[in-house]
Amino acid sequence: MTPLLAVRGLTVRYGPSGRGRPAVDRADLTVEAGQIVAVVGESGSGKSTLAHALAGLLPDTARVTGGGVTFGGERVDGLRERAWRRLRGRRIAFVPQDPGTALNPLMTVRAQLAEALRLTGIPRPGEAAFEDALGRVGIPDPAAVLDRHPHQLSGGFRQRVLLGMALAGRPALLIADEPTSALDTTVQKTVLDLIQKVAARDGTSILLITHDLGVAADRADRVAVMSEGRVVEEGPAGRVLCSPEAAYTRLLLDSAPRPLTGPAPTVGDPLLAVHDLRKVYPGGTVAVEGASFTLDRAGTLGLVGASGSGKSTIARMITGLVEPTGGSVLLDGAPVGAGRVQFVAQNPYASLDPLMSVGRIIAEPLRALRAGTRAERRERVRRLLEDVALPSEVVRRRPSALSGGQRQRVAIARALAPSPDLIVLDEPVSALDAVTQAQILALLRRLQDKHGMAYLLISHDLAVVAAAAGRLAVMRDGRIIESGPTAGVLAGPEAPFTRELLAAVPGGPPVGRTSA
Amino acid sequence: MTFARRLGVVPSALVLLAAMAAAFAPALFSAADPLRGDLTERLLPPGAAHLFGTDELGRDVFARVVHGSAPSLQAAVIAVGIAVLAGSTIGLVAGTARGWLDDLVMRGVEVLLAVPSFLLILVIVAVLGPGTREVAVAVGVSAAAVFSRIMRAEVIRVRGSGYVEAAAVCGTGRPTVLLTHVLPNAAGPLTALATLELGNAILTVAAVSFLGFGAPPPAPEWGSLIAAGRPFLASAWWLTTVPGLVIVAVVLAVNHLGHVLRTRSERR
Repeated sequence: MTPLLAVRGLTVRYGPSGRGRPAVDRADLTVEAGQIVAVVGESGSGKSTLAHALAGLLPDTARVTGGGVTFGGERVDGLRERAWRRLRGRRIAFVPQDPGTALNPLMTVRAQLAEALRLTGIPRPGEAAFEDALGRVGIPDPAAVLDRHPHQLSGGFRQRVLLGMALAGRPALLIADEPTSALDTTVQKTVLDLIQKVAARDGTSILLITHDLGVAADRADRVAVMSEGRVVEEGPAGRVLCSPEAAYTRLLLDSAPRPLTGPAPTVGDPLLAVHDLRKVYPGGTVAVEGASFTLDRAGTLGLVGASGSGKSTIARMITGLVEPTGGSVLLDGAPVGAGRVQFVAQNPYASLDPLMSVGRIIAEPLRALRAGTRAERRERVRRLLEDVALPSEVVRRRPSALSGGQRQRVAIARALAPSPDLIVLDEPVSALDAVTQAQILALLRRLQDKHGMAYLLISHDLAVVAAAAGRLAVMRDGRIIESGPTAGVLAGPEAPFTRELLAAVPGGPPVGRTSA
Repeated sequence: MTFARRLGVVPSALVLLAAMAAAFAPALFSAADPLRGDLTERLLPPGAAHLFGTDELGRDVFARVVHGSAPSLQAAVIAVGIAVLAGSTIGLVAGTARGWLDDLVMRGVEVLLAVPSFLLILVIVAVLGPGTREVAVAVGVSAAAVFSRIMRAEVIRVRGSGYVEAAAVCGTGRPTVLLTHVLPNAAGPLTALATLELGNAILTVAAVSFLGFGAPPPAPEWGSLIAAGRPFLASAWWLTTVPGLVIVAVVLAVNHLGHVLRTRSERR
């Protein structure tokens, strides 16, 4: 039997006349009918380019320079746009990465869905067709959603609407490009469950593009691992993930965050005491409601919660960026002094001034505190770069010349510069690839052992927190609903929301993986 | 960058270089006296002896164009300088202070924008009196409003960025943040606008001097040269056409180079 989709030696290059470095290099991939195939790789590995090539959505700057693709036994590479349009939406559907931007903000869900339904040959879709399309993707009350605009829907619902549009024509193949990477873990789980369910029910094949090995392990029949444009390993999911052959797959597997082992940290000398912290934004939005916790000297507290749960607001109040409405933040029993609390932000692409050299960026807190002479500061910057394992020649470079991981190292070095007692890490690794993520987490542990500062680690990813924090606090709707030693919370979660969060971690709950 | 655009860089640079040289060292181009003519050589068409011909008093038009470039270009540069300085100061204050001061200043700026700029220039020149420097001030003030709006928007954008937040956590004071982070990062769009505005200013200065508000005669200025040639439009076309073409060439060159610099800085 011929497979539904067969990719043989596909090569895609960018740049004028297609002479650039291949983004996809002699890729082979097979998707049988009804199968879920995951393509795993870091950003820049070519997995998105591959997905776009298979949907005929390559940008004008890219072209296929070698190999071929057959879909349902027919060659589809080199098809003209008109022919692609006959395939897309009917036989091949595509779900883009970011549900926030993929829907037209000015059109109601009904109008956008009508467009998709027209493509499938229903010129004037009736109410039943609309409700059926949304009902199929698990929207409980389709009538209520139909007349809303995208901004009135949550991220998870937007992704469901997109999925409903994609599946309206009962396609044979659904290509999902990182369908959940912009969503919270719990929402991610429901969307992935849905995709899996639809695939099982309608016999739709799914090509799932993801950077998350856990997602691939949970959902896929077969896994293809991509690195630098090549498919380095391909096989049944169980085999690839349990006994990987390619060195790169092993590296990816080793990079998955592992929970800390060893005894729970003893309650030590408290450094930070947060008491009954409240923040009400003008307009009446309550971001944080009565949060209290303590953090030990040289300890790490993980703060977990969905987006919008108020964890970033807590970080801002502790670092002094936002004035609390009520409550207190005390460091060693006194208000926070200059330079004693530092901050590492989520996005290393935004947190470094693009016009400054790395050396100036790292020395900024020292200049602000008027610490040392110019020569002393230069020496300190040199040692900080050593600490974060960056070569000394980056001192002169601009942030734009650095990778995401290197930038985050610079941000960490800047936070370390004034020898703070506490560093607040707001989603420090969520913008980074799995391998880089593991390196940064290891670096943070090493620095804590060496310098003995405390971390407040904020993340939506329970696996990351479990890998780095001795104690854990779970936030929901501005309140801390559960806290305790990480191992204890993971082993016996009390709050239902914590259990939900645990169940949603792709690749199984982090406690179960200690022995893996 | 397209090939055609790259092709234009060298001629544009040459035109601009020639205009600057003419402004700084007019004697380099023309030994003739721009103010004194030979009445026996009136209204001669362009030729070997007089490159751009002569006017009704027998003055060499080439010499007058060359000597006129200094006041014309000077006025444009001063105008842009005033616009950038005044505009960015206003924008910086408004964007940093926010609140009622921002509202007050920006409503004032909007009033400035609502008045047609040429009318505004004429009013200012009427108050200050004619003269090259007065025209420059008038053109500068009328262009400042646009700069202040861009500067304010940039300041607000940069102040909300991650690195300004990081600087605040580091303990960097507000004035230092403004100087080291906000100003350099806001400067890009501002310089882009300044190059665009320079071509505009050359045109506006010429237009005002055409109306007779520039340097008093017999001093040469590009705009007043065209005005002086107007009565002879039918018999001596070169008196109006040649200075006009010079203005067109310089404005095109400035705009083109500005565009090239802009796209290059955006690509960075």
